Amino acid sequence: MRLRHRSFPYPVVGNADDVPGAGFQATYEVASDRGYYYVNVSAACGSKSLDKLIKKGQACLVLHVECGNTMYRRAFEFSTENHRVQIRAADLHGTVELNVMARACGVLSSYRPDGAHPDYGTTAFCIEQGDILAIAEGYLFEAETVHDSLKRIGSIMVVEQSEHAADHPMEVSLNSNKIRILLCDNDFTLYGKLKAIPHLTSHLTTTIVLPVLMHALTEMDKSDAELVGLKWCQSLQRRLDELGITEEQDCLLKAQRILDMPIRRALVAAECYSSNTEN
Amino acid sequence: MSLRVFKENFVERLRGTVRDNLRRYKAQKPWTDEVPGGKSGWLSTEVSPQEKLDLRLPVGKDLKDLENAIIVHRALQQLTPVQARDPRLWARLSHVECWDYMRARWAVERNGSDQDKAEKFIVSRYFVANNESRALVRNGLARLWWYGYLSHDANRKNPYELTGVLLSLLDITQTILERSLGRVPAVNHGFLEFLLLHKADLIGPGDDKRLRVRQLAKYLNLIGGVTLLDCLTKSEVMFQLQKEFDRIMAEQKAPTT
Repeated sequence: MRLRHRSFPYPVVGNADDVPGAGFQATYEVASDRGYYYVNVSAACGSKSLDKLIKKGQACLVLHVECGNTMYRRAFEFSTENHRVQIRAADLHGTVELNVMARACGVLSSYRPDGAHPDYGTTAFCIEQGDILAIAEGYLFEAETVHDSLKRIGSIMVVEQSEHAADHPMEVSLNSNKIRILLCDNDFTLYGKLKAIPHLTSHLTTTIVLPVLMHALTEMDKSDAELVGLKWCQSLQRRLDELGITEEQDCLLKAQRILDMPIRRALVAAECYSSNTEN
Repeated sequence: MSLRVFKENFVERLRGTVRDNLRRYKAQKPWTDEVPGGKSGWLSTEVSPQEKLDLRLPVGKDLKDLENAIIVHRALQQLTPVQARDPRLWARLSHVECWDYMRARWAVERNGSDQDKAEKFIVSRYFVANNESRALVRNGLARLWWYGYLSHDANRKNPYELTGVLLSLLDITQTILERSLGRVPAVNHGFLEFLLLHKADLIGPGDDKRLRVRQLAKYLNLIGGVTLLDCLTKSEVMFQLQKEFDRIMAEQKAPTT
């Protein structure tokens, strides 16, 4: 969204010399994991009149995110100085443009920002809902997914129904080319239902895959010659090498790095679910 | 069966040899297995179409765009935007699985004997350029998915009702979608719903209707220069359009001197 060098029919804080007496600045920080991009934004407004409007709820701050490559364009509103937004990694690819601005939340019948250019004189402006009141310098980043979202990734684990009739805790078998996770009847039925719910994928990873992976890594550390020839073991070793994970690191850390921050992903998914339910 | 995509280097090879393969683009059957690297130039993905990609072939002037947009979007509804902009996917579908449709809808013969024109036509309709959003609404199949994606509204009785509006006024609505403003869900759904609401005055044959739609699109673009339309709801966008529509209609009804 090209905001700079626009001529607005009223003074806009941060736009050229519309309001020389006040500034509007934003700083951006972008982080990511396999599932999300996290944008932390801080906005500093030097206009007292605009600040007042924001405090009264008559104006608000907006983080505008646009990715032409995936036709993604969204606006996130906030009213505090610092704000954090999370965006699905599946929505962004290539150049992403971030802009922070302030906009009117309703009609302002006689708007006159303090410090406006003398050319505006004593004119008061009628501002409509949604009109832009301040703009900050934008920011670009490249959304580059290391993970190939279309490529089939052969799983090293398989979840199976155990052959024992009675209830029992989860069991793991490491003696095949795939790690076999054995669940009793009830658990297996529940697992079958829950794995189809996207919100719960991260939780299932944390609940089932994380401890199993830790167990497998512990067994690998024992340098069991029988395991070395198995595909899951070779695959895990390759992954450890790719990630530059050394033998000295403990299995909890190794497992979390292989699964790309499973705890955070589970917490973020829970937060998403919780805010969707509230709304 | 899981969806297949071409390998990246095979897409590049195909794209780089369009001129050499012009004759093949007139073939009745898919031919990519016959070119070097073709037999092994694909990968299986973790995506399976929900329904068969059985596209309707155009009959005369009936291009079947709406039916096919629904088929493609329904079958591949689970694609994420990142997956749905992947050039490997659309190149594969255009050259193999949906070859019959591509031959019927986007026949290279329409370019006559002009080889430069034919080459450009194939590059834009059978491939997707990596970093151009416009390319997504040019490729013969990607456009169907993206039209479906951008206009699908799960809250309507017929979730593809707005897709029908979009495709009935393609030259105008494509202009909107190709512009950044049309990617705001409330704006593009609001615009399409408004056209549907005033169907008698805005949709159908006649230059006056086209002109009115163009004026509405222009108006939206104009207010988008000052107002952050992204923050408006669909009803607020429609309210803005109504104001302009009333003005246009009053102007047209006013007696000329």
